[in-house]
Amino acid sequence: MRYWAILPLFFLILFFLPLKLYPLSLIIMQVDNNNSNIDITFDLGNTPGFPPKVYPTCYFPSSGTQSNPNGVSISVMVINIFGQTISNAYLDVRASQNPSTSITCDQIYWTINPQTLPPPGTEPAHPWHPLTLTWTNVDEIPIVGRSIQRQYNMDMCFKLESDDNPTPPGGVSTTVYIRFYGL
Amino acid sequence: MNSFIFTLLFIAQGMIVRPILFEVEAAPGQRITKKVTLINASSDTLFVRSHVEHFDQDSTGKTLFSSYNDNDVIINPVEFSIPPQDEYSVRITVKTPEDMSKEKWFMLVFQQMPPPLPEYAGIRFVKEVGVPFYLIPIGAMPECDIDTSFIRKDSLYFRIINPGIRHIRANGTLKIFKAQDQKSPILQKDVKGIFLLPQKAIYKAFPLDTLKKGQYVAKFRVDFHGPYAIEGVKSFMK
Repeated sequence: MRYWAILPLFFLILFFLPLKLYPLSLIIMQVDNNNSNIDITFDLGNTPGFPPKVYPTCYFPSSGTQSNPNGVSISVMVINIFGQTISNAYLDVRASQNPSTSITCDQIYWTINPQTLPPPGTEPAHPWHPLTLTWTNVDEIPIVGRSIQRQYNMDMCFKLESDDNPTPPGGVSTTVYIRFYGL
Repeated sequence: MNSFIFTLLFIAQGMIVRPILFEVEAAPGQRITKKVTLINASSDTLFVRSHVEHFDQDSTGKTLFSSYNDNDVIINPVEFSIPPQDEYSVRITVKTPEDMSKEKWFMLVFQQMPPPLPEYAGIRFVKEVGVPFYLIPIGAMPECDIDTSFIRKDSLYFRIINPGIRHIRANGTLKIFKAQDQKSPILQKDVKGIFLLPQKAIYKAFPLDTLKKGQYVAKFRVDFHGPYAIEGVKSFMK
């Protein structure tokens, strides 16, 4: 018997036994490149093409995030080795509030991947989706195999309507929650 | 193990949460304690707030979140911060109901809080990771059925129901045969990741626009929890 022949088996057991005893299952979520200030702004006064000739007219952010000048980048990953597993992973999005009484959050649109702006004078259509105060599913990912990874460059645009009142000097704001989970 | 994770994820950034779910068989009135570990794999301090939400699903499979009104889940601590390249463990204590006639479930939500800033204008993004927690009555068997199938607007629908008291995970395979030859399918489609909470049903739709006119038989097989499988059969004319 040549004992060296079972060496690869030994190393396989050495590698997989701890994973079997201590299953590895985790979610990694990254939005932009940092944890602190992930903001975008629509400063239309300094944006080319403002004021518009027709309504509605959509604008990209005047300042985006570090990783996506027209919105935000999202990276998600699920790793599951010998652990309890999920069927699907879901990425959902919602807004915390309407920015003001005349500007509602459904005037802010998102796409799952980079897109061109809707033509002036037209309502944004698929693949642009309005932001809502309730959760909207961005993507549903079936879990096949030990790991999955997705990268999204979520573009955002603001639809200016004829009856929008000018914002106060400090501007208006809303928070966008991005939730990643499995079931 | 954690050093192994850091080594494995040396290129990762952002927030890491483990495990991805809890499935616990529990007896009525039992107290269960679990641990969720959050790892800050970025170069900034991570501020986290945690809470519990109830979730449900509609007939399309969409997840519906709502506030959790029971006071039987304790997260300790609720708010905390994690220095860069460090980790923090949160303890979850759950007391199961005295009447465990069916599964109980909820979602643990870990929300990254941006540090407080003075005024800001625009949109601020906040990331959240959800970890589902299922408390399954001891000995509860997975159940699944296909109770309805129909054709509507050039699509074939199957209704899959979970009549049981615990959630199920399933994968399906649709095979469409010509009525006169049911040995080799002319169309096959896999459906991955079917998830059903107890007493819930979803519709799965299959477009039939690629089929020519004729008589067909569709067989939809659903495999769930290892050895279990069911099959729905629908004859139709295109």
